[in-house]
Amino acid sequence: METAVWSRRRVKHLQEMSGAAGKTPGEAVITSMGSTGPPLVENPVFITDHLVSDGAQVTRPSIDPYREPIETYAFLAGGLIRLSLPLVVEERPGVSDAVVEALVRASYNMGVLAYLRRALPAGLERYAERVVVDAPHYEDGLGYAGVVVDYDSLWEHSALRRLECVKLLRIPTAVSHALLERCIAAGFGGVVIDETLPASRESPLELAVSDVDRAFKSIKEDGEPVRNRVSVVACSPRIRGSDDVFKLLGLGADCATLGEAMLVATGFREGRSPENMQELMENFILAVQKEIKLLAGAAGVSCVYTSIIGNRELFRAIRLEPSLRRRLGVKPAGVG
Amino acid sequence: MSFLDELPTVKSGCGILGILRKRDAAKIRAQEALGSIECVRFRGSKLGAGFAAYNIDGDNSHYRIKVFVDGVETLETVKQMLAEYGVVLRRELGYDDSGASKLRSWAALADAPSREALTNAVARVNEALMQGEIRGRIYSWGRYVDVCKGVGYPEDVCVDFRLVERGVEADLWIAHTRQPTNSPGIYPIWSHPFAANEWAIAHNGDVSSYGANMEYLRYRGYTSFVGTDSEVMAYLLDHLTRVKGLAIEEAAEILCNPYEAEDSGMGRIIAHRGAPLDGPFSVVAGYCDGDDIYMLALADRSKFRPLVVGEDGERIYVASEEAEIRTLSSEARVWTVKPGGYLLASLKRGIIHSGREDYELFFRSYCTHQAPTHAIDAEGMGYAELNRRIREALNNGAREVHVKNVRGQRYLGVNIPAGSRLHIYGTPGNCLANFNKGAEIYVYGNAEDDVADAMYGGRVVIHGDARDVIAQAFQDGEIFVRGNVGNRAAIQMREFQDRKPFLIVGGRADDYLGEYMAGGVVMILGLDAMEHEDKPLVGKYVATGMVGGRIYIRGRVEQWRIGLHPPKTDTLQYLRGLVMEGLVDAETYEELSREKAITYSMLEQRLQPKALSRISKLFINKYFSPPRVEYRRLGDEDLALLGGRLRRFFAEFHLGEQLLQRLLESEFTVITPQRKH
Repeated sequence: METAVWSRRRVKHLQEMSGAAGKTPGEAVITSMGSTGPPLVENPVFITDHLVSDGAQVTRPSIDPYREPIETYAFLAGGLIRLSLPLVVEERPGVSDAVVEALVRASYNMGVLAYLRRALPAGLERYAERVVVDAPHYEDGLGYAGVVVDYDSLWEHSALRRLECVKLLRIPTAVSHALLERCIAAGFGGVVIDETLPASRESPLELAVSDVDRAFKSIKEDGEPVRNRVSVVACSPRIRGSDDVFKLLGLGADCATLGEAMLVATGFREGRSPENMQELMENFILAVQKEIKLLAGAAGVSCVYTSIIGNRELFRAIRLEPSLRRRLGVKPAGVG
Repeated sequence: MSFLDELPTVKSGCGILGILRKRDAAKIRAQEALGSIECVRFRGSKLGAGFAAYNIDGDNSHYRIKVFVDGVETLETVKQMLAEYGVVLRRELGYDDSGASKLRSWAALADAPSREALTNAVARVNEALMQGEIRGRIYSWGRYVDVCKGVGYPEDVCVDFRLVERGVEADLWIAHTRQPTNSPGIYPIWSHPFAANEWAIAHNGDVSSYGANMEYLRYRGYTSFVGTDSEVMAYLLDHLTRVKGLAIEEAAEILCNPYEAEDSGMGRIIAHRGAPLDGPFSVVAGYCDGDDIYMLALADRSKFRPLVVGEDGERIYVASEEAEIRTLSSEARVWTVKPGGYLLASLKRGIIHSGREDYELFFRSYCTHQAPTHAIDAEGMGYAELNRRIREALNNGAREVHVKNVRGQRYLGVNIPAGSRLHIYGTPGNCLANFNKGAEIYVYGNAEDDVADAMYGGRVVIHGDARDVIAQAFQDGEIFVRGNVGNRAAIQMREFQDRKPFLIVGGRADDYLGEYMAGGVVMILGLDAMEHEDKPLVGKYVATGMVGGRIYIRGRVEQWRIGLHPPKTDTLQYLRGLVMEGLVDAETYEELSREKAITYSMLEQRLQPKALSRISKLFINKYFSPPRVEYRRLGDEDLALLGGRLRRFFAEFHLGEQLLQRLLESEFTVITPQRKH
């Protein structure tokens, strides 16, 4: 079923990455020079559709990730969590236990995080070190990597300070500077900007990511911006693939969630429930990593963590309203 | 029309230079720095050049404020603003250039309540001067550094500031000739060196981290930028050392952006994210802390730009090309900064960090050949003229041509007839013997970058080192190098039917040896390290993407240096998953976790088929398979292939029979492409 967000082209692309379709599971899908994508051919849906990567050229050569190293590691909460790539696999509503199990195992094996909205199913406790979970389902002693606390219950959790894992605050896309300061004061290791929260209706994820990134740079402790120890996680079911992830990183996210895209990639959203769900998910994560490497390499970047995150200079905007463009800090296309 | 008129105009990027005197040596005169940087005039353009002179003695009690202004009105604004921020001008030095560009340089000696107050005042003034149109800029404000820069070639700037005429001398010179790419060169504010307090830097490259670096600085008090990636490097060094109090070594390591696998201090990268540089850069920087003067040189980890360093009894040098060093010193020991490495030297302490392990073992002078008296004297000759003279001599019937005093002239040996011989005494410039089709070219000295690109016949014999990217797409003939080769040697080498190229190297090679290699034979012998089995003869990522040919490296090359592997952390993570799924036992996991890096062949040896098939996707894909590696002595087949060439190599460099026998009895690492999985 084609929607504006999940175009037929997109669905095919994602399924080829996982191996649910096509013959090259775990590979970046081959594309070509030029583009039929948004905003110039297909209709733009999101701000990311108006952003393009500026690309390498003669004096700054592109890097071939198949033969030269391009590092995709990412650290969250000032180094407390290491990811093999800046990705969190989010559990979407209405999935079965079997899907959750595959998601947890695949995330673990591939060195990313799983973000669960329920308690870790029985029997998977040993995977907790790669799982972050919503606060109501959190349990001390299991060894979760992190816990996600809702911003409107920030003050109810008097026990928050004693939590023995990384605390992340779930915030909407419209958020006050004061809340971010409280978040720092309460010892949070980062924020999850959730575009599905009711209070997120007014403002798109891209703007929030960029604003929060710069807000954390302007909040200082002992004269040093807190940004490098406080992480920004971009979370929305409409993050469609490595292209969206890459652009959100450029706007200032430390990592982004892929939840819905994962379900589309495995064919689950078309009603399929393949037995090799974990394998498809691992392939998908691997292919996302390869695509991110290709995107970074094409921009002449060999280390995503140090060089892409918040690097607005690597991007240009096409047909994006000037006020939005300026707020994001991205130059219009055609400007050196 | 001669072929020389058809040569492409190579935009090789900028030229950089640093010369530091040693403690007991004389100061360095302006004309020496000028002569050295003008030697690579063709690396730059008329759009920008500059010098920074450091002196630790003399009157350094005031800050030397240097500002570009578009007129008297702007100058008054600058003075007024500085006064408002408590900066007191003690002595106005007036305009110190001739006003040839759109902005004039004006200087004064000043006092300020504190270094921080001055830095803040400069930022405020510069913000004001860049609002709307460009009215000017304070471009240098240190006590020990004096920057002179402008629009033009180095010679123009030198004349403009009367550096030679005034007899300017320095303990340290930094110089630059600029080939602008991402910002126009019409104003001197875009010229190098860029300065911040006591730091001044010159850069060749184009860093992709620029936007991240800007973000880092913007929230740490640096608010005005002219908009080049080079400028931010001066601010980064200033911030890390002056504000954060890091040692110069620590700041250098952060900027060089070490690979995660090689850095024990990732905490530093995390804390200073935004400061590391990415993409191409070679940088030379000067610094004075009041007690000592430092010269720092940085190379990017992909080694996308050239960087050589040198030392003689009097001085330490940093340059884009060896020819710059040779202009001043024929006897200096010259070596290269390793990919991702840095050199640090100081006036009082000499070399503090050499930029490469074992440089004394591998980087030597091998050549004692003297040019015959009838040799063409290349002294002061441009590359076009020298190539024309060589071609004329060959056209007039000579079979053999000798050229002496060669210093950086490019394209030598390009398109000279098959069967002719060219003997070069000195340091030939980039692109030596490109497209060579049957000529024999001998170099008595070191060659620079891009030797024998697309050569398809004949010989090249180098009685010294060659630098980066030698033998790219080399397809027939032989290249002998007595010393070392740099990064990306033998990439895309190929063979076709009976055409098979041979590259034999007596020393060592850096990263990416044989990348994309498709044919031919490479040997790395490490002849001067026969007694040092622990000294690696190659860098990292050997034979990545190899699809044909053979690489022989004497001794046992550690597996992690060959091919490209996923980060060990990620492989271990996947293995832990397999342990939980019962597909790998804990003992195997422990064993593997003790390796420096985990390669596919280690997994092949230790894992059950089911586990291997699960994890292999991290290592193998449609476009890449790890190469095949054997450790063994040379057999009959190898000797049939190599024996004759090795004997010629040994004869050419007058190496003894005894050494040859020892070599033939050594174990080799033999790398060939993997058959399809």
